[in-house]
Amino acid sequence: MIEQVKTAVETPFLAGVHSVLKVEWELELVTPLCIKNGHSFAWKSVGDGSKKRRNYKTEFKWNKPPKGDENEIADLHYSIFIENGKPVPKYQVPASSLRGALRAWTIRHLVNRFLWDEEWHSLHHEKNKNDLQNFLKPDFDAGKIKIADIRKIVINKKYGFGLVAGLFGMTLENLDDKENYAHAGRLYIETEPFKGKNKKLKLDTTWMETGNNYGPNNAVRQITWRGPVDRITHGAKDKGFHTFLEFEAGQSFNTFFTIINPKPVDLGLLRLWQNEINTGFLRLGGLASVGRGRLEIMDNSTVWYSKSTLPKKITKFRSDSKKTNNEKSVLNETWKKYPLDISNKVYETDLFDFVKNDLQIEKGGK
Amino acid sequence: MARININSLIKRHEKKEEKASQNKRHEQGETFKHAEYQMNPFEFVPVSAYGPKKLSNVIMKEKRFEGFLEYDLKVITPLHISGKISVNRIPGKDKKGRTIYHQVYNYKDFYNTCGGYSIPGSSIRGVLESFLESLTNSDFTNLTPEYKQKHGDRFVGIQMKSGQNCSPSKGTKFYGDPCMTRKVLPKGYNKTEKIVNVDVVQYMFGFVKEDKKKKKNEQAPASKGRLIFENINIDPFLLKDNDALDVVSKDSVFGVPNIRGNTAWYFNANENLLYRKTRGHDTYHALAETVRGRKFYFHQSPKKCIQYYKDEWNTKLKVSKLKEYQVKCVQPTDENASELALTGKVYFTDLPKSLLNLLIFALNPGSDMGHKMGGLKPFGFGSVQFQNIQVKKREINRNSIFSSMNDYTPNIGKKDIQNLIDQKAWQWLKTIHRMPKNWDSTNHLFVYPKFGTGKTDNPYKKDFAKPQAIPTSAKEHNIKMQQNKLTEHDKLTFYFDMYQRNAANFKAVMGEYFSKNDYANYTHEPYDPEEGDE
Repeated sequence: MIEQVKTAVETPFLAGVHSVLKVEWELELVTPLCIKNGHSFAWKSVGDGSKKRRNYKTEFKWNKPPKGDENEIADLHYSIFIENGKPVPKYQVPASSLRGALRAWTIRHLVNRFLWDEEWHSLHHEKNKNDLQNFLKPDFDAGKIKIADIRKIVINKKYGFGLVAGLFGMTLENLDDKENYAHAGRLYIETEPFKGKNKKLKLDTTWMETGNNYGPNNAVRQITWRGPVDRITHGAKDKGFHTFLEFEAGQSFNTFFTIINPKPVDLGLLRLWQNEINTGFLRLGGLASVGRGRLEIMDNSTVWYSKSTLPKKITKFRSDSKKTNNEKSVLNETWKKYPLDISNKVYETDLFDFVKNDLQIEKGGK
Repeated sequence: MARININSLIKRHEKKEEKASQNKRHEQGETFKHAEYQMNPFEFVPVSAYGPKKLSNVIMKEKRFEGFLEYDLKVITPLHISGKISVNRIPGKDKKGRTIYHQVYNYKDFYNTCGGYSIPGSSIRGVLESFLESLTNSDFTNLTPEYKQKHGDRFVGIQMKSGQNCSPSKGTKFYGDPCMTRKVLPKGYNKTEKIVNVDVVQYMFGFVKEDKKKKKNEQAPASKGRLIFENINIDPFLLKDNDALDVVSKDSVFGVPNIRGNTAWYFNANENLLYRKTRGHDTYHALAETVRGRKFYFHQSPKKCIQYYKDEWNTKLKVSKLKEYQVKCVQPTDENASELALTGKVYFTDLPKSLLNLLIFALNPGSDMGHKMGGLKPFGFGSVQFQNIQVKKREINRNSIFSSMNDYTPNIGKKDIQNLIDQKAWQWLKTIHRMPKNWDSTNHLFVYPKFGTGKTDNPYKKDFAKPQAIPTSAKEHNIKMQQNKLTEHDKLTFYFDMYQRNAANFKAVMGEYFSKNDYANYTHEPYDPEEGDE
């Protein structure tokens, strides 16, 4: 019988806020990064229109649409900030990119594969059909998903999805019984613009300076080109040659996580995310298949703010040596502050216990 | 009273007499023993007549792994990937006396995105993707939809048969349409609608299909890849300038495919020909019937190849259209006295074990084999090997992410990936990718047909683009070449397969398998993958 009363996963703030986890990372680009924003601007090679010449005397007109023989190039993501009463555009990695990458990695690695991999489900469906039908309502197999079915998956720890839903929140619409299902997450992510000052599009000395408008100058961008090769003729694929912008490697930006009412498993997850980012498995942005989007965490701090004491499991691993957040924060004034060093592998214990108990259907699915 | 130009009258009379003399010799059936020549710099791996081979569910049900492999890139011949390119503009005159500007390369720098010199991950990905595409008989990943090429005011692209018109005086004429790739590929290739069962390359590298029939707001068929190819950063110390050649021309480039309808190189030709009268010449276009296959280049010494063109073309034939220029390349590893190595990384995720083994095999399919990367491949540049492959992996399940990666150093041979590869394609690939034991041997010199002066009866020396004779049908011309009954008027290079087979180094390069039984195995027609030998 499905619980009608909503569980803690679905009502994270029912008992109020008792703790806050603040995490800060300084992320550096190990490889170039390409995150577009849907806009584009004009550019062209100024010269004699030679077909053989490439990348000489290039002119840019940021934030202007192309006219005539000008080319169009997709711009990278930027946000508008108000400084001294004026709007100032600055290049930035959007928090939604980071959030999306973390959520996708978590689902792929910690959630039962049957729930997100359509291919895996179709390959193993027949073998495990009875187990699924025994556990879930027949409507699920018939493709008629109901709220009760979703909740059963969400609140069952063994599927792993509760971890994702609890942290990131969940919204479902347009189900059969026309009842929306939503609950808030506990994780909030913010990012700052790239740290550079007076940076601009990286140019070669042979590129023209006059008349160029490069756009925001807080990040270095570079132009890269690719030319797909036709497999039959081994010549350039017709209309395949293209250029694109990307952020140059070596630049850094800060990102901040706030987890409301954190749990020990959250620390394990943070640790895993750090490891996966540093080893190159968790990437941001587009063109990952050709090496873009790898980052490294150059500096990090983790502080647990609590109205009372830390959970016992965490107490003995706290560290006071790491730098803390802004001392003027209201959290510093009213709550007890516990800096943590989550580089210790033991933080993964709770998370490991959370995920290790697999159902028979998952074993069969391996 | 009309003016008469005596000189033009004399010229017209001389041309008529020359033509009559040629036709008389042709009617008398004189054959011509053509001069020896070397194979073209490339070959084609033919395709299956039954479409791409789908990936079996058995493979997809295997344990999945993620991890990365690291390798050393050994550069065998200078490697060039183009960055900034500068040209020289040379004024000239066209046939009407108007001033035009020819262009010839001045300098080609190496790929540099201002973050430094590097071999882009997309280049490495492309090398492996094209090799695996052929090896596993997967679908084509990059194709030009229609081979339509304008040259000035003429249309010179490849055409395929469309309408038919009978003309008693000239025999049968055919109308041609610009060649559309999807019509000359066997059924199953280049599908654009939703893909139900993917092939090996689609599964490993991902794909995006352009589906013109899809409804508005409907997503085109696409799938995420499972491989990540990182750039290889290059220390500038490893880069040096090398000699290369370019043709002085308005827009032609020496060594780039020149796709023309009057030479059946990229497609197996229909037995009929498309006849055109172009500027007083009788021109015949081969009509495309089926695709010849996927193009790959042979390994050869760039120094030897460039010297050949300088000696045979520029000097002996007095062709003044080839000019030298400099191109920046990564030098061969063996010539590099420093300790600097080129190391690369490929990440993989959610990859079944068999496909991981296939990836490792594709990187290093044999110690005597190498891949081709970058530009100037027709001249021998870009021969590379991926060596010292080290793999770290973990199984994808909810437990393994908490433990360290495991080392994996399999010795993958062909037997380990037998079920995944197309045996006929493998025969072609191992032959084409075999590296010479002796790089100075003439057997491993591959050059284009000579760019002639046009003022000789020797068809080998005639202008490559101009046929001299009027064949009654493509089939008859083909038979003449097969029986070695060419006359001095026949266009030697009209058919790729015949041209290659008659080359002096064909047997030495292609080996016993392709030479035996009157070249029975040397055919580019789409084949039945179930037939035949290993």
